[in-house]
Amino acid sequence: MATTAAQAANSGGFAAPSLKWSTALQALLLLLVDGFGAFLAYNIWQDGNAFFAIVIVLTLALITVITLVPRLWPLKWISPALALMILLSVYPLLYTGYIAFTNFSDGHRYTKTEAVELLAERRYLPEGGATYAWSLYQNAAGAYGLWLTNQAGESFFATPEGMFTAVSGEAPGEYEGYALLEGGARFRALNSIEGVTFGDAENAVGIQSLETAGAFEQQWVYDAAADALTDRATGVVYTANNTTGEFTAPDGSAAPFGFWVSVGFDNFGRIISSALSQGPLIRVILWTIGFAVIGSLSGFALGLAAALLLDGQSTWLRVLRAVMIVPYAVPGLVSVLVWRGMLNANIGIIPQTMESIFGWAPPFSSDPGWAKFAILLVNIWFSAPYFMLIGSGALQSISSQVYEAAQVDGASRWVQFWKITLPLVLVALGPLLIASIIFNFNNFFLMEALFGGGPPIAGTSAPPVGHTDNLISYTYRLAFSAGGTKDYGLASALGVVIFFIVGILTLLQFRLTRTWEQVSENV
Amino acid sequence: MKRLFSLMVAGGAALLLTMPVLAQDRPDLLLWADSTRAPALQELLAQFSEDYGVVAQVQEIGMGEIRSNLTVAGPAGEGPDIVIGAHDWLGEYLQNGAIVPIDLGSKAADFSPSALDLFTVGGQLYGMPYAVENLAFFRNTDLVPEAPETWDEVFAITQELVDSGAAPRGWVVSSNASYDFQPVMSAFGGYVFGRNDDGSYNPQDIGIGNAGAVAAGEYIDQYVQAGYITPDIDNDVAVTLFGNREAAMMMTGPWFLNRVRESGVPFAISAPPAGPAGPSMPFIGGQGFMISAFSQNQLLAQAFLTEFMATTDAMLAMYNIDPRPPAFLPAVAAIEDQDMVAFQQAGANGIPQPSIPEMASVWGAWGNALQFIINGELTPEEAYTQAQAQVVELIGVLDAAPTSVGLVGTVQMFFGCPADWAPECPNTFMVADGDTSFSLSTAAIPAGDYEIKIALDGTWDRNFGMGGAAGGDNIPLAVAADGTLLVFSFSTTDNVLTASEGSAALVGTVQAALGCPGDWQPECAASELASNGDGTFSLSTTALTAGDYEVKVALNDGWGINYGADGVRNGDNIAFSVPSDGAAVDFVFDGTTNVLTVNVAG
Repeated sequence: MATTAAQAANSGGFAAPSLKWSTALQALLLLLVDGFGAFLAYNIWQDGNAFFAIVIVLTLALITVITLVPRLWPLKWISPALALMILLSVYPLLYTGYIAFTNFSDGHRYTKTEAVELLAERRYLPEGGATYAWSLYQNAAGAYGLWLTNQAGESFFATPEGMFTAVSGEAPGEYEGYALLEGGARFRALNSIEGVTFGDAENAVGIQSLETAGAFEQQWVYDAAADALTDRATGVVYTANNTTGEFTAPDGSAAPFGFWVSVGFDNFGRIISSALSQGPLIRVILWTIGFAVIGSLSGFALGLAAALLLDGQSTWLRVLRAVMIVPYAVPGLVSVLVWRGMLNANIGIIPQTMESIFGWAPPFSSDPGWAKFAILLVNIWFSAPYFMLIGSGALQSISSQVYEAAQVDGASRWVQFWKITLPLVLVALGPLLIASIIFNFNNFFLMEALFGGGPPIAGTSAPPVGHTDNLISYTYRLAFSAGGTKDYGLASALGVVIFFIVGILTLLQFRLTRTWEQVSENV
Repeated sequence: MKRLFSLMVAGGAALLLTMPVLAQDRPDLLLWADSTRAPALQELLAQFSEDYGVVAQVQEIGMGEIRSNLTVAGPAGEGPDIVIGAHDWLGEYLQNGAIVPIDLGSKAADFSPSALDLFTVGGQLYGMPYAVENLAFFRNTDLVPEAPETWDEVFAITQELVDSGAAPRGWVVSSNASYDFQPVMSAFGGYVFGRNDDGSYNPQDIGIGNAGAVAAGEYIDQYVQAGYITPDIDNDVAVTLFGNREAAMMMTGPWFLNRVRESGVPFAISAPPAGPAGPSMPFIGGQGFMISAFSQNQLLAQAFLTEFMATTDAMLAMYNIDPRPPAFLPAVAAIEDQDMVAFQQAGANGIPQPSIPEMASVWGAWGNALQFIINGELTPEEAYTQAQAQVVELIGVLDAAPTSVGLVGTVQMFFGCPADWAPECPNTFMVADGDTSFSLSTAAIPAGDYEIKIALDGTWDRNFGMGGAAGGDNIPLAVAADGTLLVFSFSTTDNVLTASEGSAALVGTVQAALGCPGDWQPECAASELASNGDGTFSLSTTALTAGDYEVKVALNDGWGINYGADGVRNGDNIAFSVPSDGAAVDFVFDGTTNVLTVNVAG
């Protein structure tokens, strides 16, 4: 929200600083943005996410400085984008990096404070503790009272102010100014009496459930000095182990759940050791790179070919171009599911048609090679229209004089394409091609939605891997299927590893782009 | 001025848009439900709000997000009071302490006991079920008039239908079936997890690779070999094939009932057929309401569930929007749909779908196994052996040979360990006396009550307690008198640790002279050492003739535990000489140091 307001503040065109009222208004808007941002940061701080709150405050400070320092005014126009980038890209990146060094996973989902607080809410009934059936009363002043009846049939009336008096008979409609609450009135009062202790010191009664009240006590008590939790129901002391993030008893058993702690490079160690022990990882990496490169290049080539074929201004070509863009406009998940149906060996239109014509159809989902082919095919469906769209624009930007000159020199259409069209188009499309390769490197969605990574690879150890699993879907299986726990720490560490792989690839490709730029300079 | 005005309008609009977000109060009761059920709950909650004057709202959130976001939103105070989900989320929720027990009170009697079982862990109920579901066997009544009783019959019918050309396929099953394979696998004797005495699942006992599972795989392989079942069938495709009359039989759940009805195929629902190991046991799943541990309104949440939702009207409203057999018995009675009744009958032999977190490690490997068979890549035996190995690795099952078997507990100090409950202490590592049995003896433990367990590999990672349960309760040990010779034995086949009073006997070349039938016979009673009550055991004799002898001490009449020179287990024989016939020889065995001392008079 901070950035929406920031955009509003910055998109209004305060280019003329000479006017005093505009400066004042600008200051006012900045104040609003900062005020709202501070409010947001405070709330997030209260929710326990100090790190994110700090990032928001830093982002706000950046916006404020950019707006107030005249020298930085040029930056003002990109400050909304900058703020968005910090909050939506940089922060998650840093946070993922941070989680990669922790054991954040099921059973270690909370900070120690949160874990202790959550356990502190558990109640138990000490041996010999009394339990009662209860009815709720309220007096004119709004104070609550409970009519309690124990198993022996004895009744008491208790209030939070310390009253605990023996009474007799069934719960009456009214008792000493307190009226029995029933129906909606009782329901509305429930939130107010939750966690409230009724009765006197010897007979402290809390409400445990709708049917039962009793002398319930806090079961888990944390002793900060000893850094230990005591389970008062059993008397066992669980000492915090700040390296594993667990509370452990002397007999080795652990408290119901632990907390998350920094584990250093453990997660990376696990990745390396599992990478070394896993045969399929090499296959997965090869397919990841292969798919990213072939998938992007094939989409690019076909998109460009379509752009060349449909280049022109006639109505028919325009209609055709519009039709070709449709796959790009349809939501991806829908398309993938439709493709999945069309490729199905039993009911799919593609195999069935081939079957009736050739008497044979490729086993798209059960043969590793055909499955990969099918994935590349579907990927073309997604990426070619995009490249056609961009390619059409790039083609129109090439001056016709260049072609005329080439024709004068006697270059054939073929030579013109290779020497003029492609290099010039690459200047415009090269960066997008790189973006496409990087996107496809992390294309979890297509792998998971089309064949779920299948067909499976036989003869592997755990976790099960499929022939069309790429690094990111393999990560998902590794981090979320082992031991039945979701291991976010391990997943983040894998994410960091993939980030560096992609980073290196990107750097290599930027080198390539530079050579394309040289081409454009020479034309 | 115009520009200023438009800017102020824009700023004001931005503020106005953000204000409701800031000002929005949390309702008294907040539910999270998915898009299928949220509309029904919206109406029910509006009714509830009106009847009771409590502000109750439902937030529509995807199933996956409900499952994973409770522990994220909860600690921040932004989570719901009640979530609607499947019973198999319990494992994950409980691992994170994210839900609290529910006391249904007198309403408990209105729920089907098996549905309550699904939401019960360790004797505590953690959810109020509203629907139960399981697979049932569907048949096209034109092609298969009578419900088949056994899986062999299903194959015979399939053969007949295909051979006669009545239908292109008989019975079909999803090619990466796991959930759908469970009825077949159980009918042939396979299982996912073994069950403890209290009915809970034991993740250390995996039966995906057992003979029954392989037999079930071979059963499917018959279809594959004959071409009746082909690759690339999933649940969707199976229902489509059934609906197109291309397949005559299949299994599916209530979620596809409407699709089957819409196809117009005449069908009947029956229980999945039986196999050689008994009836099919489909997994039974439950849908229900759970109360967040982070909720500050738990009482109101309970009141809403037990007094408003647990009524026939509310339960029927849930049923109408998402027809699955209700768990609330008065609602069941009000439903006339015979197919729903048939589903419930088909689940009569069902078992709860495991809700322990380890189940997440099972699905992928288990489903892949069938895919390997149907794709013709692996034999059933290879496929299920591999699946078993993968699941074992993912769960970290304790069947790998241990590097050490340590006795742990309150007795360790008597073995000279620096502390009790120290799995790393080598003094209490047991010694193998067979392929799968380990043992340890001592006489150093004074009379008293103790607790013991077994910890493998010198760590707590794999530890066993009462009844051989992994991570189970401590085993109580009562020592009646000081100096009792205690023998601890542990078997890695059942992981059971036992402690008993043992006997010590002299073995060696002296035994014949002591009245035994021969030498080196640990089972001979005549050479048994008598306890002195202080942890030592002795025997005195004058029956030996002059000469050289060799002896050892064997416990419990066998070679399993024997001590030689210097008290070393399986150590060298102890040699001594008797100078003259009839010389008095005293043998004293110290049950604490395991040293046998031989005193020869003269």
